[in-house]
Amino acid sequence: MSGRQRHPRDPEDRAWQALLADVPRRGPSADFSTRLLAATRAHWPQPAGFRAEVAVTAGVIAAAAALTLGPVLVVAALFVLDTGAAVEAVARGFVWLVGWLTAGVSIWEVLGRMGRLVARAMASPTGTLVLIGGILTAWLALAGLTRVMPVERGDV
Amino acid sequence: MSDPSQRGRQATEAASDADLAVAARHGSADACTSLVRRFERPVYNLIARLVQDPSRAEELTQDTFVKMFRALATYDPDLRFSSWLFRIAHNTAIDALRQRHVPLAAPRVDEDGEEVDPLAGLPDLTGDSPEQAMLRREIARALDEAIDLLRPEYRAVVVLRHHEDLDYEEIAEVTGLPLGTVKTYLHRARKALASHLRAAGLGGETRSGGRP
Repeated sequence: MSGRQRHPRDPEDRAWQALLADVPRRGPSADFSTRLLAATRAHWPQPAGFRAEVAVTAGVIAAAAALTLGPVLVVAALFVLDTGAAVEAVARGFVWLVGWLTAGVSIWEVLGRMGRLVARAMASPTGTLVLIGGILTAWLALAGLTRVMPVERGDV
Repeated sequence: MSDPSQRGRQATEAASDADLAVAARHGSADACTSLVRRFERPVYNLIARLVQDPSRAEELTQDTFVKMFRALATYDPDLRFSSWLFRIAHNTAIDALRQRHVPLAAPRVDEDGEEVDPLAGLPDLTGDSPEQAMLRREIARALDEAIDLLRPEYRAVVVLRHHEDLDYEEIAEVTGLPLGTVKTYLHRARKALASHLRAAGLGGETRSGGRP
């Protein structure tokens, strides 16, 4: 509509315009402007950067929640599916650990054995693939973060 | 040197409506504020004229701006922003009238076939004498009352044409009426206003077959 040429007013139209020019416009109450701004502010469009930050924050919170709640959910599921097996597995784990420690094996040796087991798993084709996948995911996440987050924040 | 934020505000105030709408769409708070400040009174004026209830008009004006901000992503900057916003305001007000079961078809002031020219018999209103100023005020007051007596569709076209300076095509787009209907409504509205002025003793001689 803005590109359309506006028609000139005919004499009748001009005459009515002159008559109606002094007719008072309806006006809202004194504080309406402030109330209107406050009421609509929640619906104002947000900058793209803000939306990206919200998305990244939501993703980080969701990932943290999943990592925290994941093992709990696994244990809870085990209890629901087979309580006896879950209790037995936990008890066996403790017995195994205490037995090793009382047999004179130091905690460092236990940790070392676990480390060696992990290293052996990593050296396997599957472990290598998992490791590379993890590194790639972390690298992509960092690259994404540096892209969407502002380099310098003026409001900090 | 002036404050950068002040310069930004001045630039925002000088921007066109379409530029402001585009900036608002990209998340500029200054542009959103300017759009509200620029259009709150015209939008309120249109809605208040239609619903004739000041507090309801404020609620509907707020609804209009909320709808506008929600729909801002769909605004085409090639269109005139005010017309786009008035269309939202007009639809919001008409919906409210329908909910109140206000009849949108029944004429409320004289719409008989009598042709009236309110300009005939009126003294020249362009001067600055106290008498002319007083006459202008009287006519404005009478027209103010007369507009409120028109049926809502007529009120809308009068306000959009003579308060908001929209042309006939824009009024047709705002109201969703065919162009011919807009012209007919405006013609009938002026005729009714002329009758009211005549009844108030403020000029207008009946002419047979003449234009209103």
